[in-house]
Amino acid sequence: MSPLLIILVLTGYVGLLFLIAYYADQRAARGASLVKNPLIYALSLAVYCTAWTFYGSVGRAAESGIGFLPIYLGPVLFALLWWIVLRKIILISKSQRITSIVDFLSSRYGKSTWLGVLGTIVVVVGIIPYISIQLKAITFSLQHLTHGGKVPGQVWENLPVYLDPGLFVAVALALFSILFGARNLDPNERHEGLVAAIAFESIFKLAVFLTVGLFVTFGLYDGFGDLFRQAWQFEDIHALLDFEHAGIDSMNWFWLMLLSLFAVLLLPRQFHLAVVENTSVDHIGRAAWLFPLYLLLINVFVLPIAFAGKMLIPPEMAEPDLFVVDLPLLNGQGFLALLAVLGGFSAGTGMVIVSTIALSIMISNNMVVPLLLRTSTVREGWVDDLSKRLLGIRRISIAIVLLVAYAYFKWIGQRYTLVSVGLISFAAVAQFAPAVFIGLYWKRATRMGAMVGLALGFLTWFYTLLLPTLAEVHFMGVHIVESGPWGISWLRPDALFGLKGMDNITHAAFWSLLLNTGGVVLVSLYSRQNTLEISQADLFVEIYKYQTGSIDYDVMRRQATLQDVTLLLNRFLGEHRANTLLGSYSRTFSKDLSKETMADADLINYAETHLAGAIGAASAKLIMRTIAKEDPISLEEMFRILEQTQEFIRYSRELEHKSAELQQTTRQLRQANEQLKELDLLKADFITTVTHELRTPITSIKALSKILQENPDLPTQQRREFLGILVSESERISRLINQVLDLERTSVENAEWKIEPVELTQLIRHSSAGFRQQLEEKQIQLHLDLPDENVWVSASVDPLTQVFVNLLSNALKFCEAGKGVIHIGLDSGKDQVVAFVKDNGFGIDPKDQQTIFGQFVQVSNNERGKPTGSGLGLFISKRIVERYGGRIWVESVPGEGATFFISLDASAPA
Amino acid sequence: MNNRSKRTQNDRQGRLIGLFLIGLLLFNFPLLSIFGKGEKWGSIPGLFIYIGVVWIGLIVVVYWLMRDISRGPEKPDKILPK
Repeated sequence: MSPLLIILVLTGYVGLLFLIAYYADQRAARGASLVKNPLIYALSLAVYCTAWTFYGSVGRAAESGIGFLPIYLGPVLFALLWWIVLRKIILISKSQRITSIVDFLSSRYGKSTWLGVLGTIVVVVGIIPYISIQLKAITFSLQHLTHGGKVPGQVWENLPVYLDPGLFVAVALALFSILFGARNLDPNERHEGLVAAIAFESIFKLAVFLTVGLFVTFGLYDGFGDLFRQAWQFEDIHALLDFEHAGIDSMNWFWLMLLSLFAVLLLPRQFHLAVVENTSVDHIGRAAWLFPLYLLLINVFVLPIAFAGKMLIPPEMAEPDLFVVDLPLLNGQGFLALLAVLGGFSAGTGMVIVSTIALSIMISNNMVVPLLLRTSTVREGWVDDLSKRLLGIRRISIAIVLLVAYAYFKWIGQRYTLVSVGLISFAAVAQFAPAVFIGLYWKRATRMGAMVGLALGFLTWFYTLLLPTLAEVHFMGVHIVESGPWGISWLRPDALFGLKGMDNITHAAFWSLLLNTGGVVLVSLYSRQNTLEISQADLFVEIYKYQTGSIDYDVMRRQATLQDVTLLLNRFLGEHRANTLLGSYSRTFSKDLSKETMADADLINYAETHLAGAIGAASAKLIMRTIAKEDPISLEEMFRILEQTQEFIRYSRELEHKSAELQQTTRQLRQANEQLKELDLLKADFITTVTHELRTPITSIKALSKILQENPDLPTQQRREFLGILVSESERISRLINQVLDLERTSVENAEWKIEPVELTQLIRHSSAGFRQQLEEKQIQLHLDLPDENVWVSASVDPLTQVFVNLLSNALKFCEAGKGVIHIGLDSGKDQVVAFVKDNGFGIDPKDQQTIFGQFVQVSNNERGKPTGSGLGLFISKRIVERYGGRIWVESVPGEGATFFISLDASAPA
Repeated sequence: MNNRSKRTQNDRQGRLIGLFLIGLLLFNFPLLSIFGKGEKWGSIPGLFIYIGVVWIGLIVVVYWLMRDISRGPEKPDKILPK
């Protein structure tokens, strides 16, 4: 195909891109933005699919089957976490006016200049191989197109540099990038035209790749089934689906996935489009499934194209990385081949343009400007011209980056496949992952930790991945790679510390990320943060707290004249934008700036944040330092501010604690109340029973007295009988009243009962003496089995006598007249004395043996009718005995009598 | 943010993390090696179909989890620098 036609088509395509960008910028200026929607956002993220995807995936698939896939599965998985992680990063970046991944890092760790410089070096060096493969892919695709496929002898490679089309490609790309991203300065680094153009490129490259895929699958073959059926005839293709033959192992698979997972966010262009150009965090919601869908579509035809290429293109012509162009070309589809080249061109340019713009922002904002500002000799004059020079710095950086990338491609990259070179860059940007992700969730991560981790990771990466590619083209001795430096074999770059059996990417990723993460964590634990670091860490980790605007504080007490601040803003943001900003500031905080001469800390912070959007956090901090008097807050004050939050938490914990205590008290009170209610009920019961008990004898007394009164001529015999009843009923009443009084006495808690040694045998003899008459009347025998010596217990005489009287009268009641035998005995031990009163009466049912000691409990049974007595005797006895720390219980076999036992503490003699 | 939306927000985050872990499991060894011996379903490689199905499944579930955010009205940037 004629080179002129190709150049015309490419120029036309680039023109189209500029038109789209121009149109989008116009729309944005009119306030009718083209790019503020989730679809464009998701499409712009598809800048992830570069020439590597367009050409390299097929090349990789031709070598190792689905070995190309982890690069896409990692991002697919990460997209699931975007709503959590990416959202947080975007919120932080918007509030801090972050302009790049390196700016993010520098800002997180106290707006550090040196971390920014180190980060920029890592990114620039790391990304060079990646840009070089875009140059290679575009150049080679053009070569294939003009020469009708792979040409033996590799024509263009042998041309001198100044005639190499590859150099022209590099120069052209540098020009595009400058035109797209470094035409003028945008204070927010937002480029709507760029985003629109990138989104268009994403649609275009996908459409072309699908067209080629459809052509191969349905044009050259009869669909997927047919293509695969034919492929199975070839042993070597079939073997690609066997992991062992294809050289895919779990380690390699996992690490590629992890690297690509990091890359989809940390690559400069990805960060730029996903974070810096983001217009609303809600766009993530749709991008989280649109982006994986895009990746799925662009990968569907990779295997079919790779297999078709292996089947249809003779081995000596086969260049798997360019099957996408060669398949149409060798099958007479020149136009489709041109389209394919254009698709690859669009994939490559998209990457190069955004990457170089992002790199140029980092180089100027995080490396050149802060370093220049730090050298005081140039500071005075430079500040004035800085904004004018920013653009120059950026344009030069873009040009340098592309030229270095060209050199890498020309002398090194040509010998490797696209994917293997691209992966070197993935491993490089993955070095940001520990500092970024740990810093996002762990406040204690320090600047020193981030520096050490990043440096260790970068050096390891350089040593294990980049150095071997340099050595192979004799930039240095090959012996370093083969036998280690100075012949030390455990320092071999491809088998560090003797770790063998991994491919170079897995090996390098493992060591570099291990040392990197270890460095970040360990050094952070053993280093201190300054105030700015602490406040920035809090701002990043707790972004949701700040988002609601409830907590706000200054790290620095700064003062500057309003005039200086205004001048500075004018210089860097332009007069128009500066006026808008100051206007919106005075409205938001309702301050009339025209009346002020000094700018307060709020305004200085506000200005610094907006300046950071134009020149990076570290530069803005340094610039502000030139006009503002600083009075940094001491570490103690800083902690105090941060601790206020802690105090609130502690306070609310205390409240919780107190309320728990209150609940506990309430519960106890409720219990006490229940008990009181129960007691009240008992008392009512008691009174009812007592009055009832009193009424029965009174009723009979009343009735009999009435009869006696009304019938004066009653026979003497009957009269005597009635009088006898009257006497016994009166006795019953007085007994009852006595017992109630006893009860009252025992229940008065603080009644002073004198506990003293009491001689028990004497007491028993005494109390039983009173019963002599009753015993005789009922012809009941009483045996006292008492020891001869004295037995002493702790008690008091009167109540204890009462107990024995009660027990004896109970025994009397239950014994049948004429047959009854009562025993009273003693068994004195060392500590305890047990007395018993045994009868041979009716006995007590086992079910009553527990209740019998309750108030007003009377054991009755149908045969014997209601027993005499109040039902208080045992209750009172129990109370008395327990009062002395003793115990009372009963053993009984119904029908054979009952034995009541009392155990009391033994006492020394009085 | 009211309590309800805070709760659904936490629910969503938990589900997304769960889905991520499931995806990590399904897209990795050893599960992947089940299909790594060159199996064919019909004439299509089993690996091709397996990965495709899991991939589409993840897209559908994320779509479902994010549907109210995707549909939500366009809101301007709420975050202003201090």
